[in-house]
Amino acid sequence: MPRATINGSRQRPNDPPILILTSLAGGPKHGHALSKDIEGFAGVVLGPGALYGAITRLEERGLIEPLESGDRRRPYRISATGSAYLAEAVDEMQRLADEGARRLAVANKVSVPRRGPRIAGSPT
Amino acid sequence: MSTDGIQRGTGPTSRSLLRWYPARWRARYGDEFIAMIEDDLGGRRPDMRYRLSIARSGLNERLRDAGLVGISVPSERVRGGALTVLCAFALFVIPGVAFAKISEHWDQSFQRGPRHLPAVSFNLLASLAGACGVAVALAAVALLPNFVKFVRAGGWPAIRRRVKWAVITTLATVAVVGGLAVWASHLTSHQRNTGFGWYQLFFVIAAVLFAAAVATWSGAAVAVTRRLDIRSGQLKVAGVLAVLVGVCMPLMTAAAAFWWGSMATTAPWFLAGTPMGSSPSPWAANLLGVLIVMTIASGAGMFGVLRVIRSWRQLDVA
Repeated sequence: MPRATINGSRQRPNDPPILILTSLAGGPKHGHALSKDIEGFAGVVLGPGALYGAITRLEERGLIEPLESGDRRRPYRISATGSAYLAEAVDEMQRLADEGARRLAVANKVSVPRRGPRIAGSPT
Repeated sequence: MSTDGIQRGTGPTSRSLLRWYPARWRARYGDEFIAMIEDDLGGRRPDMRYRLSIARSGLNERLRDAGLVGISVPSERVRGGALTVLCAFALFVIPGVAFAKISEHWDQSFQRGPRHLPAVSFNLLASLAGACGVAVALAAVALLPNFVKFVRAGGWPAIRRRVKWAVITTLATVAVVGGLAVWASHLTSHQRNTGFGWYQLFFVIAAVLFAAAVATWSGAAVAVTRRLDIRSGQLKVAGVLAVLVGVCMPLMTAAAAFWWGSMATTAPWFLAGTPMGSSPSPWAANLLGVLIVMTIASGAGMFGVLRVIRSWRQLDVA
């Protein structure tokens, strides 16, 4: 199965593109709203430079789409391609998390509860 | 969300931060980017870390816009790698010319004694510099038909501004250097090389203009090359030439360092400008600066070489 990549590099949970796609999966947002949402659910602060660098790449690849806006704050939404990409990335992270949990359980001889992938830097 | 009054306060700052980004990016994302900065800052002035973060992102976008980084198509990666080497070589030329000036007449500083080591390193450096110049010229000749085709197809307006500035800086450099040469012929060696007066000031101006000419021509070359329709065979030729130039740069840097070391042991008076036979310190700030810039340029060149080599095998597949 092909791995979720942008420009050939494998994505990690705290990579800006994954964070942006995850945020937009909850609905369209403009730059500042995206930044605040990501800080809220992942504990990762994306400055304007990093955020718009990732937005540029995601738009180039057709993973997100700009929406019409009455003011300067242009909102973006996740595209169908972006949703498929995010689903693949989440699936991959899920498998990785499950494998990590399984090995930890074997190593520690204790039961580790199964749960979804944790975004790096998120509050415990 | 900031108030109108606060926005008026941060507006010019936001717009100044936007200047780090290329024009095409500013045209597409500029307004919303400024709006986000204003929302983000909420009326506060950006601190140095914030400014540096945006500067780094903006420069990254400029490199992408120039086709130097961030490309996934193999042919474009080879082109980007070759252009990276070209830019690195342009940077290398500046300390290279400074080295040529510093080492001027070095072989006349020996009455007798071993001049073999400095001669070997100096000649190696000069030969490699010549080879690099030929390689760059060959690449330009190889792409000349593509350039003519590009201009005939109406591409000139896209590069006119860059070429205009390159010509202006070149003419200014020629004028100042020509004037300096005439002036220098009326001065003694002591007047030219000691103290800091009008001659030295104009020398610095000439050096800055030369660096500007190199930079503007490099920018023009990048702007032209990234727009050309280049066949796979031509790209391979350009890639080979780029690898040659990229590999030569660290060798030239090593040769310059070796020349300094050998001169420091055999003729340190030349480096310090003291009478022949004296024993001054071999440390020279100007040579150190030359070697630092050469090393930086060599590193950038090797980055380009690696990009060319890594994408080479995929060139026929793509």
